[in-house]
Amino acid sequence: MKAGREKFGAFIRREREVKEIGLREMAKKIGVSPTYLSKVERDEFPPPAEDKVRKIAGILGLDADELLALAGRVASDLTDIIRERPREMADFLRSARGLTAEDMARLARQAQKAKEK
Amino acid sequence: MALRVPYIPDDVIERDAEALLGEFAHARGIEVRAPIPIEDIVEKHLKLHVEFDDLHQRLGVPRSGIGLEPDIFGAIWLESGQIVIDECLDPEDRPEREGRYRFTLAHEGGGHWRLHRPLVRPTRDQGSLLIDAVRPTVVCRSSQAKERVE
Repeated sequence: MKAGREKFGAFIRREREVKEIGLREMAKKIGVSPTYLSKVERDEFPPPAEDKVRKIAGILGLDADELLALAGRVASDLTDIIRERPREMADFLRSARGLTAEDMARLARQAQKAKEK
Repeated sequence: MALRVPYIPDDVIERDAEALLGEFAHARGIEVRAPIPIEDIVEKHLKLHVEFDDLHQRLGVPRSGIGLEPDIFGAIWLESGQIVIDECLDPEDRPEREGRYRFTLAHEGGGHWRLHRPLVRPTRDQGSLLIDAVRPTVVCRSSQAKERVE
């Protein structure tokens, strides 16, 4: 997903048009009105709630976490995870900050293996 | 600057409408039947950008319709291929206006875009950033509907 400096609305509009999904068609799939979606796509309205951002990601074939980040949100399950063990998770995330994507993927695989033991 | 358009006879308009339906059917490999898929034709075939907005507010035009209802239903920016439908015609919020919505979309996309775009110097590559900075090429107001002249 390459949004660059593009805002949420402009990005989803471009992706929608590339995938040839009509405005009304998209609005119906998300469960909002075409007028509301138009205002979101013009960035006049803020991005919709998390469940709707997830639906948009699913429709457009995008990564939900990345789209949520573009919407200025953190997935609710992640905030729950941090709340469960705030000190350890905060330490873990701060330590992992700055690692490359490959390093983080490797770390995630190791974490998965550790859980399966 | 007003867009001056030549008179176009009914049969020419009808032939163009038939040609558009034929092009769409051929491109999609389908047979077009009623109800005409006007949204697909305008957005996916003609590649026009469609939005909903309060057109009176956007254009800074006071409402003058009956009971101050909106009387601007649609506008098109021929330079950029942008169509804005007034939000009073949102067919999901106002299902009773489905017909007027479909008519307006066809009027802007099938009518103005197909018939009047050749009269405007193409500047589509300038992108959509300038769209809000310029006035639409055509604003369609119900209060300006003209009597048919034979």
